[in-house]
Amino acid sequence: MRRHLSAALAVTLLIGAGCDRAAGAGDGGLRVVTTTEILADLVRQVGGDKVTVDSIVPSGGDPHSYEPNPGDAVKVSKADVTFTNHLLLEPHGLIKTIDTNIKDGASNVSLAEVSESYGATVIPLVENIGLDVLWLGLAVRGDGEQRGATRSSDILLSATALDGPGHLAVYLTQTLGEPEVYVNSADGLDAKDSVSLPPAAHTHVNWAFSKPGIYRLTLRAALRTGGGVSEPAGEGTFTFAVGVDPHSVRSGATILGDGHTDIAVDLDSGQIYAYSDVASASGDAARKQASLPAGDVVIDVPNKAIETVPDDPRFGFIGAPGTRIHQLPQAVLGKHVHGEIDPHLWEDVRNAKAYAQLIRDALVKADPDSAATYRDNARRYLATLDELDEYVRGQIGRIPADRRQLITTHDAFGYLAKAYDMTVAGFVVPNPAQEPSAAQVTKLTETIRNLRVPAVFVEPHLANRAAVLTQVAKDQGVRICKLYGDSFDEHARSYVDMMRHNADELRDCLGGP
Amino acid sequence: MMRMLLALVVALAPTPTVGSSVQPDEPTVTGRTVLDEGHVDLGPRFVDGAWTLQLRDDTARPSVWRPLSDVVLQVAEAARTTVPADERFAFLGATGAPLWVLPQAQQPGMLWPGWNTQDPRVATTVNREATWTLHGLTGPGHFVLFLNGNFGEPQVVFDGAKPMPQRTGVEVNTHVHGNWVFTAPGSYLLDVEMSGTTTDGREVSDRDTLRVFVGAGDATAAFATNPPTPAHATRDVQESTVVWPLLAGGGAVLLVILAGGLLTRRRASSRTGE
Repeated sequence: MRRHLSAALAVTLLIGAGCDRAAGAGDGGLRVVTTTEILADLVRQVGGDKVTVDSIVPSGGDPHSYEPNPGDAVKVSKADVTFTNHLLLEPHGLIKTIDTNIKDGASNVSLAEVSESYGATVIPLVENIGLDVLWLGLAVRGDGEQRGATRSSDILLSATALDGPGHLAVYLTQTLGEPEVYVNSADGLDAKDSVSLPPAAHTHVNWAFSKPGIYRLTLRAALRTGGGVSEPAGEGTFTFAVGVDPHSVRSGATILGDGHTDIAVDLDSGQIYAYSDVASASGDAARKQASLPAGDVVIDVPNKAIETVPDDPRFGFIGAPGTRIHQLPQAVLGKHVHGEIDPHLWEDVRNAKAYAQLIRDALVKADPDSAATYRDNARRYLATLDELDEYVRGQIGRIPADRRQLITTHDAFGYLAKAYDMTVAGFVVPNPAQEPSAAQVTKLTETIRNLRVPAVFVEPHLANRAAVLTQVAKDQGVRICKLYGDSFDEHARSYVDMMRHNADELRDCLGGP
Repeated sequence: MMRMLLALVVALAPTPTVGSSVQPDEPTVTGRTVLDEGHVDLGPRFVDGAWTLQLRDDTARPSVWRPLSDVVLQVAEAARTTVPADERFAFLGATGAPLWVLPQAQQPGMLWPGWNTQDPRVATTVNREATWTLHGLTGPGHFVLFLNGNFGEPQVVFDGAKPMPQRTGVEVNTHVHGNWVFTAPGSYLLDVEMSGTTTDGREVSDRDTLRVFVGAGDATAAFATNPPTPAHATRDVQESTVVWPLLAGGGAVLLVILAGGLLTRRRASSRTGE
């Protein structure tokens, strides 16, 4: 199905392409213009000596902030095929330069947008990294009939013990801003530190921790069926890794780091467990929630979740105004930008394979006489990319799980993290065209300190914009290493070079046997 | 236009039955109903192969789905409160002005409406996210749908006072609850659409009218209120014109271009003046 559709899409994209091939195929072969040098390299690998490829953004340039000049318009006007990444990688002015100057009959391919039909996997653009965390709720499951539960019963869930470096507050902020506190360990735990849940309840609450470290929270449930009758309905101790790497807590535990989990009281089994979709493990849209024993999970409260207590006396129970806390929020609306995709697809080598196949089909369409060459080149290059994918996976796989933390200059490595099982712990700014705020710098500093990461990563083309990150790293005594994101430099002249470097650098800087 | 994407969440519908996530064989039930307490969700599902916007009535045992035209959601008088003296909520009106609020967290004696994309076929065959569009509304007051972020910060999904249409994303296989706020009693008609793209590239959408009655009066009055344009007709047109792609072995795909889509656009533009 997918293949049929992709063919249809490619045809749509390439309408008219190839009819004036003779002009483009003259002395220099097929003339191709790409926006970035990474795309230019992919086209050269597939096009070989049949194509002449130009990148608009010069070597080492930043595509996010590139301003096109009149010479670029001339380049575009001579092209038989243009390739953009699109999805907001390139600024609007650059895309417009291509769209308005491309000659009649030439084809204009947006790789990232069409590559999904070639098997690329895309991830939504994260708008607010502070919301890109686990959504942790409370639920009551089972009907509890054999325990005498009815619709009018209630379940009292109580915090009975907390072991950790600071305090925990569990609360719900009501619709109009009024907090309702369920558990607050700052004044000790007693009968007040409870929440009454109706049967079949499902609610979402805030989990605020006053200091980073490992916490163990014991919860006990009782079923109250009226007339003062109360019956035990389970007990469990949950572990929270607050600001520290969750892998360091207990080997073999399931890390609950994203997606949706409820701490569930099961009236039928009389247990309290994590009812979780364990999204990080599967990445599958159709994932189902499953029951995981309390002792088998570690709940990740990452440094992305650092918040500042507001100057509002109603929130004084969490800490003084201005206090920095780690908080899993009750709602995660606004985490993503609706309909927008992270454009850095090539940081997952399997996505680069989709690009290569799409480039092959576009070149074949524009220059059918050389179809056999394009197909042969593509076949060889896809095999190279398979080896590259294995290599990257192997290198990163040798880094201990608790050190696979990425701290970078901008948010370009979401695909790398997802494909090769790393964690994006933080970045200076989402987009390199932005300046960091004081709060972002503070958060980054705390992230590096809390996680004790061995290294942070600077992109070579952003080195002159990496002052913040390098300063923070120096202050914390942390290595500064290099990762390629959007472009090459004199040491990496191809996509394969760049990704091999990234894999080697990650292993070297983050450590491994 | 709203450009926020709702939570990446997969929630279990809070029913007392074990394993009570949305089941593939939940029936569609017709007949006019006023719902004023318990859990309901607005959501798309595939009915006889057609993407259809319905209301999942989780107050029934087992859960059923109802056509929007058969349902009035009643906001009980117990939901009445006032705009707080908190500048973050000034967008709801002047301090002390009346509000009727169905909260995002369940409250006994009140309706608890959410929205989900958990129909098993929606969850497995729709690409990434559905788009939920509010094309317009009629009613005696102001309507806002929002969630509370960190420290209660309102995060607005729809604001009836802002230009239409407004859009938000709902990731597939998710279930979300928000605060539904109205500023006056009476009948409200919300012109809503949910749309998406299937993993094999088909565009699917359905648009209908969601009826809400605020206050203690006779909620069936909302049935008598006519939508600004016959929204339900759009859905019928779309359903009848959906052309499902046929795959002959190795053959071409018939891409789906819907007359319904054109009709929807035309209706949207005709409403901008209202």
